[in-house]
Amino acid sequence: MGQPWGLSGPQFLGVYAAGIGLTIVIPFITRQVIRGLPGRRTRRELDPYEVGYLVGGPRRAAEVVIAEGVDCGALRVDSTGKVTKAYQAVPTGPHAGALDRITLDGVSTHALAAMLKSDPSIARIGPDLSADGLVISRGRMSALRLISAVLIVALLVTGILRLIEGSHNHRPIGNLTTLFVLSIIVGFFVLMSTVGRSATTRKGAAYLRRLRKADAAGLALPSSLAFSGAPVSALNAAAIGGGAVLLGIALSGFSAVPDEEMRRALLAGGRMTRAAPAGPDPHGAAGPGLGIGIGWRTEIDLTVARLPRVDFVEVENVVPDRAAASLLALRARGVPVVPHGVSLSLGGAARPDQARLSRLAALAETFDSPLVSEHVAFCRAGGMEAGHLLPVPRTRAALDILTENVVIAQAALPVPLAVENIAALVRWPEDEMTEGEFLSELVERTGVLLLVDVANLYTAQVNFGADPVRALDALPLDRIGYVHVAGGMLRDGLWHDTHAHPVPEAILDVLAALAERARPPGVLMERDDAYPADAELAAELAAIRAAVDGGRARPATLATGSRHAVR
Amino acid sequence: MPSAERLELEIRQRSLVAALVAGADPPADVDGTRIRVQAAALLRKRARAVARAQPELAAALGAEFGPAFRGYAASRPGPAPGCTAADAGEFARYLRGAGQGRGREVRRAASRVTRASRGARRRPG
Repeated sequence: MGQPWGLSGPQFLGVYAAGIGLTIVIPFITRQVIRGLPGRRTRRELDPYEVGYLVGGPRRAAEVVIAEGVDCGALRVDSTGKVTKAYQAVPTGPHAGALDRITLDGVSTHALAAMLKSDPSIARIGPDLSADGLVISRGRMSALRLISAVLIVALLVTGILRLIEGSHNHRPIGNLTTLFVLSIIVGFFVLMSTVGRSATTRKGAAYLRRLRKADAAGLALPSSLAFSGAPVSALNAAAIGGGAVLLGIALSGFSAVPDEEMRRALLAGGRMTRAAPAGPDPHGAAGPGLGIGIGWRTEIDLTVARLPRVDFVEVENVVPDRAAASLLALRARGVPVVPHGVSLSLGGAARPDQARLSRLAALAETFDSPLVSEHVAFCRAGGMEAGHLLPVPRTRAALDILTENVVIAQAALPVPLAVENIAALVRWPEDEMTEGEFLSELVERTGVLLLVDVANLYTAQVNFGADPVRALDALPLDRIGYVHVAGGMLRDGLWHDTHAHPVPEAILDVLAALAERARPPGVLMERDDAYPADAELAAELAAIRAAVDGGRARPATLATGSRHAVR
Repeated sequence: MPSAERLELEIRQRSLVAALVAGADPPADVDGTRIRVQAAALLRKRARAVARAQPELAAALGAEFGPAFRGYAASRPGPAPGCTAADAGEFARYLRGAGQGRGREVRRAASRVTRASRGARRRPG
């Protein structure tokens, strides 16, 4: 029997091995040739997005866009890596349009980058860079892929035929099988090297090497790289660091973000991380009182930690054993945390639920809170959840039941309880007392503290014509635990206490009127949705501080004047 | 055993909650227009919470989200405060049940939410 194809077994093995070698060498040489081909035009300097594309393809470019979005305040990332667009914020930079087109909120940085990378504005960078001869063009890459594929297929087909022939004629095929498996592996890797992220040309690689060297040495960078689309806000600049840092992100990804907390958040991409407790707060808590605070929410946890002068925070719906690491870190920094209940239904017909009470108590223990708060409201009846806080009929009978419920709650809580006036759209026809009278009576009977919500006093003014200043004058202001301020919106002549809009001037006026009468130990802004950029939240807190200080500074004789201002 | 006063208050409060979340008639002498305004506000708030908890599902539904959620919530009182995850899970189950004519994206997002909600019924949203 002659040798099949005129080759002996060992001879064929040699030829086949050479074939494997060629399958590696030919695509490699082709790639080197392609990498050396010049582009159609000579290049200006690149911007950070283009550098990002050069290093890590459209995905890295998308990460640079995300970093710039966070930098200019248009995007917000929380400590778990979830990104939200800031309410009414205007993104900056050449790819602002890409951020504008994103409609998803609350997704991970990972998912957001995946969405952004196919945005036309970012996808366009690739062809642009290949025209400059910095990345291999799509057409050349396809040619390379075709050459590789032809070689691999030829190699594998030859191997299979010889294997079939060999096993058919009972020849030893052990060595050939080994080589065949090797050829499959080699083929896989050769083919994989031609798909996926865009490959740089030699010129592109040289450009990157120069850039990395300059970046590492801190040398002056090309002027186009020192840019950031617009002046960055002081707050976010501390987080990301502006244009120079964008280059670092382009070169090394989010791990180049200097601020540790922000870096962890951006890298987390939706997974929970345990943030290390930060050092002591330079501002500290306000003296004996609480000061000015903001409602802590997961979406703005990093913002709250960064805002200047947040003296205390309030938490809702936090489970004692599952408090977020970012919240514990804030507490470790010395910022008081006040648990704020929304579901005790103190004004309900049933006695407050012991399980809910012990959860609130456990929160107070966990955070070593100075007090806890709840609403004078009911939120369920007849086995149905209202999903909202509803007004208690202001009758003697309901007040008796409320009194009993508050006493039960006080007994179950390790710290003082403050109760809050709610924002209502409906009222009961059987109401016998004003809200001020009702709450005063409750305080007198139970010794409970007051959480005066000035936004809700304003709500009662718009929706029921109740004068907020008269309400303030009816309340025992020396029993105030703290004060709530929040924004809302007018819809069909009714005020909706949305906590999703800026605090209007009229509500700051009520706050000022309150501060004229008694110094509130604490004032807290509630914002639960449509979070604006950090700078805007900071400005709102500053306005609240000014209203409190202004109110305190004004002589008491001006009190009557303020009534007109409030109206 | 609740006192007569508590029972009386319970009846009064139940009539308001039923009017707000279960489409019952408003309680005697309470302004029906205000009840409708409050019910609509409640529904918006609840829908927004679910949309925030499940951005992918909301995105898959797009403009359909509002009408779909109203259809779901019409006769279904919401969960206790802080249990948005449970509401989102129920909504996803509803979508899968009434899923005829909805896109593949919606069905896929809904199944993902249902699966996730099984493990997280009482986690705060």
